[in-house]
Amino acid sequence: MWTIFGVEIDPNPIWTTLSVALTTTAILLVIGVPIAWKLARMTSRWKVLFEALVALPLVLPPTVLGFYLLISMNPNGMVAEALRFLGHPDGQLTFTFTGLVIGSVFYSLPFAVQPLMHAFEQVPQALLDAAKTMRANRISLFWQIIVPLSRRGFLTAATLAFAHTVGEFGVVLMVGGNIPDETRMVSIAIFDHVETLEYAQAHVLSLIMLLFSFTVLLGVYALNRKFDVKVG
Amino acid sequence: MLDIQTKLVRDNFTLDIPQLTLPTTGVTALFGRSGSGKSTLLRILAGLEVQASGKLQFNGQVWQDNRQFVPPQARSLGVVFQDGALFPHLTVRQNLQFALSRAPVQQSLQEVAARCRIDHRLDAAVPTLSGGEKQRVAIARALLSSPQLLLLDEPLSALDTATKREILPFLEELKDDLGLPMIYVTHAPAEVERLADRVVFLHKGRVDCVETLQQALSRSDSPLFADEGASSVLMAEVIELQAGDGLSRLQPISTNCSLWLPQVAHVGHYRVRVLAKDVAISLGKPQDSSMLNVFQVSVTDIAVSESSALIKLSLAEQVLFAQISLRSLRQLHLSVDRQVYALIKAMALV
Repeated sequence: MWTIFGVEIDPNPIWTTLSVALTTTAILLVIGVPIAWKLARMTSRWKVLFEALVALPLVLPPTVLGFYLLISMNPNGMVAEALRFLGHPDGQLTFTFTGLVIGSVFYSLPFAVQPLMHAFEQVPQALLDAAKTMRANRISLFWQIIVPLSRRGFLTAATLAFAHTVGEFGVVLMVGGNIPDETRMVSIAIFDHVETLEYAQAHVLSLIMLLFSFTVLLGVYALNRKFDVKVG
Repeated sequence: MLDIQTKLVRDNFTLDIPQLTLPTTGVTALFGRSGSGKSTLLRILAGLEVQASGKLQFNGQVWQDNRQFVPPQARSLGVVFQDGALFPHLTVRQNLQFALSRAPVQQSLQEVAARCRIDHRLDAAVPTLSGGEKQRVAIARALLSSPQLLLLDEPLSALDTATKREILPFLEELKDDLGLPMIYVTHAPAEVERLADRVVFLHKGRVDCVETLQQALSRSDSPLFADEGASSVLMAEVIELQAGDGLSRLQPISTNCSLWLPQVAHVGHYRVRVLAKDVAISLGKPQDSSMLNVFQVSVTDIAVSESSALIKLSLAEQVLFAQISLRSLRQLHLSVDRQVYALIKAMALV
């Protein structure tokens, strides 16, 4: 227990939130890059379909997404079955940390993919062509040309994915539930405190979230300024 | 030899070359208007158009056939793109190192940079370079990857006239010094005439014809003459680089006459491009004239059009075109085999 302004605060929801958000961000950067790259370079008319699919979590009520995830991860469903077959003890994903991360990955996908996609679209094809004729392989194309030219996109993608995961509520409640020390995240803890009329705790937690979010954004904008590279 | 058989179909454009064989020496120009497919053909050679079907073979190495497609990384090419395609987040030195670090032969970065006259800009950021410097860096970078063939895609088209005038002699020097085969895409007759040994004329995705430069310049209906009118190229040797008054003195091959023009950039062989409309004809040798270049020539052909006459002249074995008015043609009574004097202003030869 922490004591802040004379109020006792359980720090566990904070740690849970941070680890879910960091894990989600890391996963989203890894899977978001190939998705964003494919979309950015796609010229077929199916592109709009994929763009709409990726953007879906932006408009879908989080409870709808959470509901579908809850159904698909149900302990008697195919996913759980497959997990048990692969050696997972009970195949249980709902109301666990892993379930929280899976839900967050779906929910925050557009926040990582869209900035990356826009950054990738700005990388001139001629630079990649030139690099290829100089015998550059895919790995150096990615690390030496694409990443440095889209670093603002990476920064934005990571920040938005992280911040959005920290702030989510609906999906978390549906998929993760509200198990103290395991799946209770800050947003749910605040809701709990309000419901039980513990306004002092809600105040302190809310203030922490406010300061934290503001600091993160401040840092990002400052970095963005510093990295202001002109292309072309 | 470079054997090409290729086809590429796009929504609104088809490039179809059933058979084209090019020698892999000297400079081959791919000439045509925009939309003729010249840049697309260059990209196919570079391996950058994976949709293209057909066969490509370079000096016995298969680059593409029904079974394989050798990627650009394995073709040992240098490509100079229209706008340079320099990596904007790297310095000039880092751009050069990008190529050098992957090259099979380690040349000296410093030497190549000095040859391309960018050694004083090695630590500059790419966005601070001028247009001419960018193209020099692009050329240096292409050379540092030790290519067996250099592909240039309209390397001068984005530059202003003054910068073009500065880079063109530099390309001529490279051509003479390196002995590296080059394929040069352009729509500018002046670049073809100064650099090329042979020309592939492309039109709407097809090859019209392949000619040596001499052949291309000896027919009055050459596509090279479509925009600026007829022109000729005098092959000459630089005798005096600084001959005073800002002029250089050259000697057209197998003659002993002097050809004066504003100072040229380098010694050795030089191609002097002469527009037919800058050449006057006189029956006698003019005495008091500002024309510095006076050559005794013979008339070999007269082509009369609606508004002018194109007189084909021969200076030793070289062709010189003069475009004169129909009135002058009548007054001079010109006829084939007649000996006349061709007059060219030195200042017209830039």
